[in-house]
Amino acid sequence: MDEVTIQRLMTLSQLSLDGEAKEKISRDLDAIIGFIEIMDQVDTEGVEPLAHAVDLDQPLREDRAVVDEDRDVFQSIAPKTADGFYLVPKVLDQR
Amino acid sequence: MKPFVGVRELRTDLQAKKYSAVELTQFYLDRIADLNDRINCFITVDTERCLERAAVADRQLASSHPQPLCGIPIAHKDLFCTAGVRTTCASNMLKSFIAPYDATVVKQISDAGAISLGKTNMDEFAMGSSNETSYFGGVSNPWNMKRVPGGSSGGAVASVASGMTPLATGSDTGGSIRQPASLCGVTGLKPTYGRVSRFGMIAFASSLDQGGPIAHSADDVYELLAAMEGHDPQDSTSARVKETVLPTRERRYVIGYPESLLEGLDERIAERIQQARRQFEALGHKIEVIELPYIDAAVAAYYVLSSAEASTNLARYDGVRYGHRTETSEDLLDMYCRSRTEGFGLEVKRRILTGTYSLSVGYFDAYYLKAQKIRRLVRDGFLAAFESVDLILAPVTPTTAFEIGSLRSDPVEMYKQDLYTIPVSLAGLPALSLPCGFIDGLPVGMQLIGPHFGEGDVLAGGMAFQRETDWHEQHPSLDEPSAP
Repeated sequence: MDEVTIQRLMTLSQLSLDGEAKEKISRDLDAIIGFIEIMDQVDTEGVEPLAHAVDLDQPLREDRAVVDEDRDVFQSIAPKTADGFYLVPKVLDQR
Repeated sequence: MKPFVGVRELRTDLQAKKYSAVELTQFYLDRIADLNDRINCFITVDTERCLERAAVADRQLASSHPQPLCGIPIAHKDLFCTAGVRTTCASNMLKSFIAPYDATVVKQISDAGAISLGKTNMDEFAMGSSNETSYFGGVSNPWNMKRVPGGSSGGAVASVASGMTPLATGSDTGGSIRQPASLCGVTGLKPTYGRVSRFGMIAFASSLDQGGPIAHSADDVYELLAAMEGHDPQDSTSARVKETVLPTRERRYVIGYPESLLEGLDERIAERIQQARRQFEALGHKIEVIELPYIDAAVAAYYVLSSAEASTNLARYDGVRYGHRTETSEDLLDMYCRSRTEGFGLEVKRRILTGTYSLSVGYFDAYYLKAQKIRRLVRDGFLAAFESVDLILAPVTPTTAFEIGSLRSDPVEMYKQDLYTIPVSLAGLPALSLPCGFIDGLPVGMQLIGPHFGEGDVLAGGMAFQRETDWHEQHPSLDEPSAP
């Protein structure tokens, strides 16, 4: 896996690896991709992709108003909040 | 009191006041205190609350209609959300996370009267087959402390196998209940996808994840399944089907036997499976040799699909609403990136990157779509087999429990551990993993696989086998350190 690809994957995944960890994971990804290429041996011409194994219908719930928003409870486990908002570092002037 | 007791005996004893729920809970808490340092099954023990709940159970037991699991202890895998008790998913990312609500499964089991002892160790975010990727350290196999218990529900099965709890919940995405159950000599069920609610169960791969019961026998697995199954309006993929019912009279099944799967398997394991086959025949069941196609490609397809779903599911961990946030960051993107890099372990990162790769422009058709097509072929192979058979008998693992550290540096070899469990997961089928022998003092398991929502027959088959055998009644000796 070349440097450009691994860098792109890290950016897309919002992960940052360098040094030995990056080399190790790069080698692992090569091995994993080599392994999954066994799929090429299967002829899937004309086969429809399958997203879920069990054919379930998904009936809609009864349209009934329920109160399940409890902001204080949910925000009590957040790293930083103020006045009902989540606080994050500055967004402007970013890369 | 003794550590290895089934649900029926516990229920009878509790109702007969042979001991109280508080005494029973304290007995298991003491055993956890004695053994957990060596085995590391539990991430969190909920001492105070479980004794309070046991006291409530004792009052219920005095009433005329106690709930079916009233006063019986259980341990929850640490990916089921529990209000008031931390749910870590064995990750630094969630090491201090306390969910605001109970998972549906946790609530159902609590409503059935069971007492939660605490939360069990697992591979980080359920990604692993050895329980070595946990942020809280690995779990040892109670049969041999130098070997892995399997994963990802390693703490759950080891807690049952070592008699720290009679019941445990686990989850199975590609084999995470069945493989460790096999390596530790306990009985575990992966239910049909949709049988058990996923609400409040931290997601790994949503089209595959399924919670399920772990216990000492198929009888107890059935008891726990009855408490945790059922449609949940909070989970749109949970099925509206009737509850699991055992056949009213003993049935003679046609059992499919995928003989070619046994080629290449450790011959001592193959021999145990053949012995089980002969036992089923002796019980009057008919064996029919079948073929299950695309098994090798299934493992590859599974890693593409599960990693793709994981990379999407784990995008939610951004350090904003809950979970780990880095101490220092320059701006928002830097905060996301540092929080995720610090929060996730190596295997989780590997899967996120693999998933991102297979979903990215230029690779989507070659990997993700191809894997979904193979998934259909694998599922259709099973559906075709179930045209002529009622159940399928298969191995669970290619080896017995391997040594801690022996596969850690080779992810692909580790993934191949799940060769026999993954196809069932891709097909969404129910499968029971139950003990069928020993090799050099280590347990060997087998699977009974059924058609969608065929849990009743799968369990009945397992119960019939366990009436004739005592593999499930063997327990490790934990009084002294195990032999090397």
